Formats: sequence, C-alpha cells, structure tokens
Amino acid sequence: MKFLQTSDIHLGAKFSWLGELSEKHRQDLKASFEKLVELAIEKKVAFVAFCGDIFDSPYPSELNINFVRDQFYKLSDNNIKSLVICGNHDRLEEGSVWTKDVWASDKNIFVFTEPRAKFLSDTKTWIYPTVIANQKSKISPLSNLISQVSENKIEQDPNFHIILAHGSLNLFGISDNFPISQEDIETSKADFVALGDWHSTLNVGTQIKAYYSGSLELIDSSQKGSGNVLYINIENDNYEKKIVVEQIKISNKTFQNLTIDLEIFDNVDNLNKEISKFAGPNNILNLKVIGINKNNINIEELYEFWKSKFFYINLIEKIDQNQVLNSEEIENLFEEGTTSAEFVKLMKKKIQENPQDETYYKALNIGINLLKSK
Amino acid sequence: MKLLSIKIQNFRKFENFEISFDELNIIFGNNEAGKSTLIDAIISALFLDASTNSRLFFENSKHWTNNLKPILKLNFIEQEVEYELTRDFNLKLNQLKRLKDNKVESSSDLIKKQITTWLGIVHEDIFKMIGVLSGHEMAEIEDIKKITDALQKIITGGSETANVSKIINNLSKEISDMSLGIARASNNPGILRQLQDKIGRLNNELISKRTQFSNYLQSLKIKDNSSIQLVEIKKKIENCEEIIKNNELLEKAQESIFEIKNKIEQVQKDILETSNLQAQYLELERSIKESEFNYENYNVMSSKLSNLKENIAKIEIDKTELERRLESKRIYISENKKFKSKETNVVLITGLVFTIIISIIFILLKWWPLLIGSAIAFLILYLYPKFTKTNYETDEKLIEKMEDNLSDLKDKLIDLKQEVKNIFNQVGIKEENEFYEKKVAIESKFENLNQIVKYINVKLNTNNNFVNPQFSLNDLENYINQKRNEQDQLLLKKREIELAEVNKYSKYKLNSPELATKQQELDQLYEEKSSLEEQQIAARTRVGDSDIDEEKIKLLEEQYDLARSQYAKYNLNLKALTIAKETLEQAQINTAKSSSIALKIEVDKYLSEITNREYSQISINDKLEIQVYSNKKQDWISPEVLSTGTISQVYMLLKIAYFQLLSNGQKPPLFFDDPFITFDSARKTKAFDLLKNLVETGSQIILLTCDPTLPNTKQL
Repeated sequence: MKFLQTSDIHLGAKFSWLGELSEKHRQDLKASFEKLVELAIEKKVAFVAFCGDIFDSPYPSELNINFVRDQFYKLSDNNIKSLVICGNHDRLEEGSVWTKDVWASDKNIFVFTEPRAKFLSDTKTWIYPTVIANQKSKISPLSNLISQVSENKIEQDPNFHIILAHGSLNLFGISDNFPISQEDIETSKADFVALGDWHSTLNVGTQIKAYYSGSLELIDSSQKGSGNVLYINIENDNYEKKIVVEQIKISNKTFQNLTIDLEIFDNVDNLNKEISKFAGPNNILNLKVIGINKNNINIEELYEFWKSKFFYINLIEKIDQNQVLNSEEIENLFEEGTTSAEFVKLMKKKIQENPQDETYYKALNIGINLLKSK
Repeated sequence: MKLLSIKIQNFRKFENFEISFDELNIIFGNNEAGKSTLIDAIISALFLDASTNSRLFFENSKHWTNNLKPILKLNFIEQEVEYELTRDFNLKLNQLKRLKDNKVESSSDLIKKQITTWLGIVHEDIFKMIGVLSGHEMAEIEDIKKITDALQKIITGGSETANVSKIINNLSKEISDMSLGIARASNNPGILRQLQDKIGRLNNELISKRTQFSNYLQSLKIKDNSSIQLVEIKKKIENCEEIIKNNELLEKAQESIFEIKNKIEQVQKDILETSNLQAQYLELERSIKESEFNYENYNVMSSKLSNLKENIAKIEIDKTELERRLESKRIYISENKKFKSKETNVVLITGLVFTIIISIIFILLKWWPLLIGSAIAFLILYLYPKFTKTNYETDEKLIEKMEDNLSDLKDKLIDLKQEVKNIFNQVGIKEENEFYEKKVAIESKFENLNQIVKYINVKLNTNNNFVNPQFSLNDLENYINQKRNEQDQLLLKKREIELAEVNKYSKYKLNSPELATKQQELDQLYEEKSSLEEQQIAARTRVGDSDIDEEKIKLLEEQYDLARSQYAKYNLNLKALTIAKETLEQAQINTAKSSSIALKIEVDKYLSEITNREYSQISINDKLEIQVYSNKKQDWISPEVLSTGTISQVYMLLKIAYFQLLSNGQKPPLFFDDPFITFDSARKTKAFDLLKNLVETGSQIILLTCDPTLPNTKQL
C-alpha cells in the first residue's frame, strides 16, 4: 500500500517577508499543490494524507476552497482518496472551511471532524485522525487516539494502522502548542505516524516510523527543509510491516543567507562573483550587507542588477557598532582636517550616543558615499 | 620629507628615466615632455600599493610602446635618514629600504603607514588635489566665487568632485522632495506622504474588513445560537401544537362518530325503504304470476281477441254485402228473363227489313262494298240475341257461387265465434266484460309494479323500465347489500374511531379555558420563534452577504506590511539623510571654523607681498566665503572688483596654506604644474619669490614648466 504525506500548505498565507513577490509565491504554492496531485496519480497511491493546515485560515477564500476541491476531485477521478485532518490554522470551528458541504460531495474525500478511527477496507488501513478545533492548546492531540490503536490492533494483524496528527513534537519539553511527546509516538503501536505542523521534513520516530513531511513551499523564510512530500510504501510481510519512506522534492525554491562585509569586498567585481554563487531563478537570498561602504559600492544598483537573477533578494543593510567605533579604516577614510574627516568624527560621536539607532549608521554610510562619490 | 631622486621604468612615456631633486626644482619640459607624468609617477610611488589590481591605474600608467608594468624607485630623506622606496608593479613588490643599514620593510600596509606619517597626508587623492597646483586649475579660478567653490571642494577632502556645500544642497533637495506634502498638503506629494496616505488607506480598509470579519464571525455565532434556541422553541411549539391538535382530533373524532351515527341511521332508513319496496314488488310480482291472467296471456289473448273480432266484423260485412248482391242479382235475373225475348225479335225484324232495303238499294246502285257491309251489319244484328242469352247463363252460375261463398262465410263466422268462446273458456270467463274487468285489474297491478320500479329507479338512480324489472330488482338487491355493507363499515369505522382516536386522545381533552391558555402559550411561542428566525435570517444574510474571508484580510495585511516596511525604509532613509545633512553642515562649519583662521594667518603672511601691497589680509567665514582687505580703500572690498590675477594669487596662497595645514607641519613636497601661465611677468616674479620663501621655510618645491623665461635648473 502506497500513499503520500503532506502538510502545512498554508494556502492564502501572507508572505510579507517576500515583499512584492508574495503573490508570485502564492501562485507557486498552488503549482506545487498541483505537482503533488500529479505525483500521487503517477505513483498510483491509495491516498494522500493531508496532515493539517492546507489553508492558512479557517475562513479561506472561495477561490482557494474551489482550488483544493478541484485537486481532491482530480485525485478522486484517479481513485485516490484525500484524507484530511485540520491544523491549528485551518482548525475546525463554527462556520470554518472544513464544516462546509463541499467536501461531502465525493466519496473519496475524507475530512475528519472527529478523533475516531476509520477503517478503509479497500486498503485494509485504520486511520487515526487528530482533530484540532483551537488555535492553541497544551493538550496532546494524540491523547485519545493511542487507546483506539490498541483496541483495533490484533495479533497477526493484516491491517495497517496509521495516525494522522497535527502538532508540535515536544522534543525538549518546550513545545507549548499541541505538544506531541516522543513517548506518545513510541507507545502508540501504530505502523506509521504522519505528522504535520512543522514546515521542514523530519524523521522523528525511533521504534515507530514517524515523519513530518514539512510544507510544500517555503512558508516563512529560513525553512531550509521544506519543499518536500513523503512517499510511503508500507507492506505486510508475514504480518511484519515493512515501511519505506522516500522524500520527494516538490518545490525547487531554496533559501540562503549571504553576508557581505563591505570592508572585505572592496570592489564590485569580487562582490558580484560572490553573489553569483547563490543566483538562480528559484533562489531566495537573504543578503545582509554590513560594514562601512568605504569603497563607495552602490548597493542599490547592485540590488537592482541581481534582483532579476533571483526569485527574491531580501536586502538588509546593517552596520555593526563595533565596526564603526573600532575600525581604523574609518578613521583613515578621509584626510584629517577635511570636512569629510570631520563628518566621520561627528557621526562616530553620534553613533556612540545612539548606539541602537540604525539611522545613524545609515547616515554615516550616506555621508561617506556622497563624499566619496565620483 | 625631501625627495632625492626617482627612477621611472615603463611608466607612460618613460621607459627608463631618472631624475634627481633639490629643494627648489624648476624643471623645464616642452609640451608632451612628461611633466604631469613625472608628478603622477612620484605620487604613485608614494601612495600606490604595487600589488594593486586597479585597472584604472594600469590603463593610465601604461607605457607607450612596451607592455611591461611600471617600476618606480623613489629616494628620499626623512629626518636626515635616506630611504629608497621601490614599487615594482610587475613583481607586485613594495619595498622601503633604509639605506644606512639596508633595513627593508615590504609590508604594503606598514610602508603606507610610514610614508603617510612622514608626508602628513594620508590620501593619494588629497595629495593630488591639494599638493599639486596646476596652471589649468588656476585658469579656471576666474572669480572669488570660484575660489570658494574650489576651496570648499578642497576642504571637503572627499573625492575629487565632492563639494560639501553641493552635497548639502542636494541632500536638502532630496529631503524636501521626500517629505513633500507631509507638513502641509501638496499637489505633488513626496514618497513618504504617498506611503503615509497608502498606509492610512490600507489601515482604514483593514479596520473595516476586520470589523466586517468579526461581524461575520459574530453572525456565525448568532446564527448558531439562534439555531439552538430555535430548535428548543420549535420543540415547545410542537408539544403545544400536539396537545391542541390532539384535542382538536378528539373533537373531530367525536364529530366523526356523530356523523357516522347519522349516516348509519340514514343507511338503515334507506335499507328499510328499499326492503319495503322490494317486498312490495315481490308481492305484486307474485300476485301477477299467480293470476291465470298473466301478463303474457293477457297480451296474446288480447291480440287474438282483437284479430278474431276484426275478422268477424270483416266477414259480417262481406256476408252482408254478398247477401245484398245476391238478392239484387236474383231480382235482376228474373226481370231480364221476360224482357229479353221480345226485345230481340223487334230488333231482328227491324234490322232485317232495313238490311233488305239497303241491300236492294246497293244492288241497284251496284255499290258492292256497301252491300257487303250491310250484310255484315245484318249478321251482327242477327247474332246479338244469341250473345245476350249466354250472359244470362253466367249470372246464374255467379249466384250459385255467391251462395256458396255466403255459406262459407257463415261457417267461418261460427268458427270464429266459437274460438272467442274458447278463449273466454280458457280464462274462465263467460262474458267479454269480464275479460276487460280482469284486464283492468291486472293493468292496475302492472301500473303499481311500474310505480314501484320507478321508485326503485329513483332510489338506484337508474333508468330501468318495467320491461325488464328483473334488472332493477337485481340492482335493488345489490343496492340493499351495498347499503348493508355500508352500514357494517360505518359501524366498524365508528368502532375504530372510538377505539383508536377517542380513547387515544381522550387524555388531551381540554376544556375551554384550558384550550385558551394553550392557544395563548402557542401564540407566544410563535412570536418568539419568528423573532429568533428574524434574528437568524439577519445573521444569515450578514453571513451570506459577507464576501469577506480571512485571506482578504491577510492580503490586505500583507499590503499594509509592505507599505509600512517601505515607509519605514524611506523614513529611515529620510532621517538618515537629515542626520547626514545636518552632520555635514556641522562638519562644514567646524572645519571652516578651525581652518579659516589658520588659512587666514598663512595667507596674510604672503598676501601683501604677492599683491604688491595692494591687499593686506583676507577674511574667511564659515561658508568659506572670502573677502579681501584693500590697503588703498582701507576697507574690505567687494570680491567682484578683484582682478583675475589677484584671484589666482589668492587661490594659490589658500591652496598652499591648506596643504600645509593638512600636513600638520610635515612639509611634504609641493608640486606645481605650469602654475603661472595666467600670470603677467610681475606676478610671475612675485609668485617665484613666494616659492623661494616656501623653500626657506622648509618646503620642497617641484615645479614643472614649459615656460623658458623661468630660471630652470633641470630639463626633462
């Protein structure tokens, strides 16, 4: 029996961190969803387990609801079931998306609104779904499912037992929202625990197979492990369950950090060489520019040049106070006795007085740029 | 620092060139002899790291013919110690060698540190900008404003083009452009105001959408709550309605029973009536059947009798007629017997006479044909009596026949009358009257029967007639059976209602006041229900009408975030620009303040001498605006009146003064690149004197010129 596991698609999420590219990213998110559906059809899986947060809100737009419905229909047309549990974002509450009639229209769509085990006879699979009705909770969503697994499990069991859960693995006892403990997983007796909530792909089980599939696309910046779907093959070999989990890349977006110290990169050629290592139409670059721009490199121009060669560049200009205050370079930028040198001296003083205010660093850079400009 | 010599290899026009320096060097060279190249080579040797990759430098320093990179070797004395500075751009080698002990320093950074300390000038560009005075530059200084500009540029000490006042002006413009429309409305607001407006707009929209959304959620809750309440109220209504309805049903059942009872009575009456009719009918039928004179006999006999009577009548008439004819015939015959014999004889004789006469005439006249004719006529006449005798015989026979007929008729009549008598005998009557009496009696019975059939027909609503009464009778039987069934069913129904409904609903029996209370209770519940429904409809309408979803809010938030971050960026930029501008202004004032006095002192030293005592001192304000004190006018004069020559002189003095000011008394070598081209000979002399003065105060002068009138010491 084969199935796909995904979660945290977050349709309709805002991507403020992507600036003007947010809309494009939203479109890409849908494209990834479609890719997932294509993959499911190609792999001829029995079902796709959606482990929560398909939508970013319990009240998404009709447009997105219809989109998801159409994807489910497409799966259904290929006789693939859609097993849906809600997440803390698209939680089950009065009038929310999963209470709508639209999901009841197809026999292959299963939206679990009660934490009760369901048996899928055609695949001989027991599904144990978690149900999330609140945005936050300190109760383990698995709490009343584990006993159900024990009840349904028999000796020489020909059936598969799969838990679909949305919650945060309480690895260090710090998870405060829908905490799932490692112990819960290990004592669950399930054959597989499909988890959602974390946005990066992660194997979290030891004895029991338990995986976070992670989100299909980057939802927040710096989620390096996202963009995958899990392809799970589970076989009954003489009542011994053999499970193979394969991680399949869906999104080709990458997120990278690059810090450019203008003190080190003293000319544009070197700088371009460095940035080009990260370039790519699907790459998101968090470009942090630090240091005094003593070589008068036009950052705006640089940004404009590279903008089109990335999916998105998030440019952060930051000068470290220590860099300013302890740098000899800055002392020697201008000839002592000139207005320029006086300017730097005055700015240094102001920065010392307002060390936390980045305006002064920026002012210093502006001044230096203007005084150095040719 | 005093330069001793420089050896230049592969630097522009110099492939291998060497020159040594004194304190005052007037180096003559024609155009293109390499005057500027020499200055550039010296400055490059002093400042440039041989490991540089600067394309600009290599482009500029490229040897005219070979492709080798420059090698510069500069010898100089610093604090009476001789050094050799080598910059080999091929080997990327920097080397500072102290010649007395051959101690070598090859760290580019350390060499730079050392050299700049000895020069008192750290930056190559500053050195080039201030330490080199060129004739071209002097030629550009045409008025006092240009001095200020140039001085500002120099004192700014940034790049070659940086002029702090211009920078400040540009910054002011940028700041004002950005903040246009913030303090007061503008038709063409700056980016910040635009963003402020956008943020305001988005914020309002966001507030409105959030309110809408929270109303939506509220409505969802109301919808939900009212649904629950509605379910309860509906239940209560159902209870109340049930009681009232059951009470009604009970009443209805009682009514039904009453109605059924009536119906049963009706049916029973009906049955009685129809049974009576049936009995009467049967009785009549029986009595009709029992009488001999039954309906069929009556009919047969009646028609037979009438036929017989008709025949008798007819025969009587025939008999009478026959008798009359017989009588008349007899009379006729008896009379004719006497008369006929006499008559025949007269006719025969008359005829014979007449015929003989005629025949004689005709014979006489010989009219033969006529004679024949008369003979025939006579014959006829003769034969006639013979015929009449025959007729008479026929009549005789006829009478005989008639008498026979009459006798037949009489027999027939007797037979018929016997037949009638037989019929009467059959029916048991003797007289015809009796027959008619019986007939009337039976007809009356039939009349009655017909009447009963009519009643039955009315009852059955059918059209059967007397001809086939059996049919009606069957119908009647059916009808009665049907009615009996009906009666049974009604009784059953009555029993059923009594059992099922009356017993069932008897517990809901309400008396009038109880019913009124219940009705009131129900009305109140209806009111509550409709109010709740209204509430629910309103909520549902709000929910349905609401095209809001949380995504819209998120998208709006995103736009809002974006606008805010843009605003924050621009605002930070504006603040930074403002700080930069203010700081630059401050720096300008500070440097002007600190340098203007020193500059004034330095310039004043030589101004009187160089201007032939025409002007004795200058003043420099914070903005580096310059005024000159005229000895002649005993006053500060408007700068416009100064001649170009004087302006050039003032500029030269200011530049030299500032160079010395910057170098902190280190007295680095001063370069002059054909500086006096704009000077007349008097001014040239004065300027030359100034240079000598500078040498006396410890400065090294390297002046390159193509002017042969200057007392040159060296040649390129």
